[in-house]
Amino acid sequence: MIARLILALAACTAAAAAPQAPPPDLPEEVEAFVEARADWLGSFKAWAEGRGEPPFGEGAGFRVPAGEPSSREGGPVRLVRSAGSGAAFRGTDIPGLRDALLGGQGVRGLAQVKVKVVAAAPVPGGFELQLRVEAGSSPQAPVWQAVSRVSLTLVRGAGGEPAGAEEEWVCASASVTAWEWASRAEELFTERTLGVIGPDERAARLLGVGMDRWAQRLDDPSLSAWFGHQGIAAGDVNGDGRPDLLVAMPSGLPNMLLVQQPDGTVRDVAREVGLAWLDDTKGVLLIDMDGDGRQDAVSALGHVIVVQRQDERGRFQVAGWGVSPDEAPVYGVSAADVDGDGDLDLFGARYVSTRYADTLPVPLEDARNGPSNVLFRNDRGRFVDVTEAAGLRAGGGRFSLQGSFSDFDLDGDPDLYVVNDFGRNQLFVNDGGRFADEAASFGVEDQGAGMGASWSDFDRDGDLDLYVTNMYSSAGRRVAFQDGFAPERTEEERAEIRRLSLGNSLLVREGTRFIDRSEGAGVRMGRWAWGAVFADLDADGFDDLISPSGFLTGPKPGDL
Amino acid sequence: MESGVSWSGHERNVAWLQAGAGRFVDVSAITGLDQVEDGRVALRCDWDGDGDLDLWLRFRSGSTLRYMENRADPDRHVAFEPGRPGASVMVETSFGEESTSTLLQTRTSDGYLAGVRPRAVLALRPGEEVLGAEGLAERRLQVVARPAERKAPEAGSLPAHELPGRVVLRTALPLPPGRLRELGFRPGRPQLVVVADPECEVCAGVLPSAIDAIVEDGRIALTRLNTRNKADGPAVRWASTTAAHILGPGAELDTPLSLLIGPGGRLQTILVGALEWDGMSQDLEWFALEPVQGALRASFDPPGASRWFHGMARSSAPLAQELLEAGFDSEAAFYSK
Repeated sequence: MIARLILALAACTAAAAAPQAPPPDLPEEVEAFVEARADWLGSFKAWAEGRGEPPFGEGAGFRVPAGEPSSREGGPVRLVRSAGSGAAFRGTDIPGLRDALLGGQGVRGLAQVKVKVVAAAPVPGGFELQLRVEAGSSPQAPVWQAVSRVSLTLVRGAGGEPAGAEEEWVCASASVTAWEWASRAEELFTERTLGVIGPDERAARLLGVGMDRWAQRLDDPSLSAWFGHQGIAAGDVNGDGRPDLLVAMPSGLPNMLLVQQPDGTVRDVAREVGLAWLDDTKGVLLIDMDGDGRQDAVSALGHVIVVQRQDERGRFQVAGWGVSPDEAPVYGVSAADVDGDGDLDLFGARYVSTRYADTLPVPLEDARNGPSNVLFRNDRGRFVDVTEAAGLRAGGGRFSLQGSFSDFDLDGDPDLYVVNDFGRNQLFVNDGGRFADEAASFGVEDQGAGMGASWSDFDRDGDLDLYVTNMYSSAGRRVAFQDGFAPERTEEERAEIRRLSLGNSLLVREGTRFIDRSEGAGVRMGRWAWGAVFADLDADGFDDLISPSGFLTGPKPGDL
Repeated sequence: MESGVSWSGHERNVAWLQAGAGRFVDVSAITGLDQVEDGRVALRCDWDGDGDLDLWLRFRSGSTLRYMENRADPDRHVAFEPGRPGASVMVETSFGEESTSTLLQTRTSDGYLAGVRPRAVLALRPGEEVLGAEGLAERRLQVVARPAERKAPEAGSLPAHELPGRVVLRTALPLPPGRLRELGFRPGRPQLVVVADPECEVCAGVLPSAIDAIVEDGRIALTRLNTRNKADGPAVRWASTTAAHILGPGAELDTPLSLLIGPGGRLQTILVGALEWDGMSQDLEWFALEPVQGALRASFDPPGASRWFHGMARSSAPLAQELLEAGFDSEAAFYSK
């Protein structure tokens, strides 16, 4: 545990210099600083979880800001956040401080309280900690969670006076700078995967195995299973009013079409209807490509986007395909009528040449040496590569993972936001089928390690906002945020590299530009995130956010 | 990573609820949306038709697909389903003295690798009324009341399934003639090479009956190698190093270890652990005895109904070269042809 604390604390940003005791800067200084105070941190965590004595000096003073309840009351979840001003209390009440850190008196009586230090920064005289608390009757089903940020001043000796090195650290003061609590009165989500998929034993068997296991058993040199970039698409393929699900699979495993039955279970019919491709498949769509009212299938099979038209018997016939100029596979696919001729055209985002590690992005923070994306114009079912003519090759190959069409300027044609790993994203504004990248002027370049994007009028002010999924990496922050990092680079370059591990971005439309409101909104830290989307999770009319996270989990508990 | 350590692994999904005034609160744990597996895709859709947005989540590790049913169940919601993507509508609502204009738009993709229905929904708060759809051409929206509840499928996630220790090579690997001679291979007949340790439980307990079935079937020649037999040493080492290299880092190699060689002298399948006659006979018919099927790339799916779009197998030269460079065989002249 101590090692994990050290790691967490090393992942810090250096605070502003104090006149008498500058915070540590170099990694070894930070480590030594943390090492010297690791015992105190252990005591603090134990006390917060109700397992030990309070590690505070006599007369230690505390300050906790007042809270303001959410404007959304009455749902299954109750939310409270600290207000920008005002104090709930100042004083020396140690149980009061614990209540504030854990989420108020409501947490009392819950048997399981888990406290985790998720971020920490050495500051002059102590730490600034970010704490995460989960509490409930059982650790598997917490009903209460809290996040708080607290600044602590540490001194040696119980009396708070400087003393010998052999004396233990104690806390002389604690100031909670921000907190938020959430509790649930009712269950908001129930997992029903077993009930929905379980009756189809073959589908359950294919989906109940992690990609690491498959990767060991499929002879696939591209490691398509191992990285797990296989998409899903919803659509009502049989017109019964119930959505169905197309599931992409890696090379050697058949794609699946899970058709929803009246009792809510699904049955995989992909082989019966001609959708069970064995090729590595990434992006998929279920949409009506030919306007006959039936859902057709679009699948990114390697570097080819294949369109299969659903016939009157429910079988999917290969009706057309768009072939990329080289074998770099297509990742995300999307469809829109970009030229206004009444049919749907296809966009494919492409990331690396053929295998994940074959292409090195150069420069890391603004790479343009990846494969080009592709736009295929639908000419009566024949798909013609018009990427160059449409202006979508501008700016070079940007290691793109997903393109998302949206008429954000409400001029009636679809614009395109392209999310790029290793650099700047692009906002291609559509003007009669010709695109121009205006990401910089709209403030949505969001330079970083982009993975996905979601559009929504989340604040219900009549325009579309954007949430971009990026990478948040503790290791990246630990290295790149040191003052001594990459001295051979300019400050501008260092700032750009730091953005690679900064986290997700909430870009709010305000007038003619989008403003990054991630920090104030509290939605930056989505971990190593991929396909975050807006979704109204509590059905209160306002979109919330869900961010899938994690890169590669190995069988051992350690992490790089 | 090759040693099993993670790279930004063990990271949980994150969910936030809007708390008003542009602020969000983390609710990952209390909503059960904080799965620890490596998340990739989140797809929102009203799967059960009750007006709220359910979630299908895709993962790299663990169970790779999960369905999370939303229990929020709004009394009423607005559904905008114009039948095509790229359509917009501005919905005007009143809620007490507050009036709101909300832009809904349909599209085909969302987030990362999520294909969505061109349909938009807006849950209505108790007391919220729709005044109309203003400003844009699209007016195809309906206010929908909550339907009668239907019986919900069983709760829970998919059980983790164990895989048989069987790897079908996508491209059959030609073996050097010298190696084939050492193994007693005779062209035209498939051969199974079984490496067994007399002290391993599976070798002593389960393996004999499977071998009996193979012998009885009569279509496969059998070569048995004993790890305790000095004379078998080179062949045992060849079999295990070849299997280890092909299966890659992290592969669980154990005895019995079996290699199925096709009638043309190409390595087709590697089996680790107890032999399973059903799977073995499938491989035999699929790869070893049927030349057309054998030319197709392998998969974990019965032959016939599934298919490859990109057609025939790639060349096996890169894999052969890789083995050669790794020092697993010395007949450079054979592989260089």
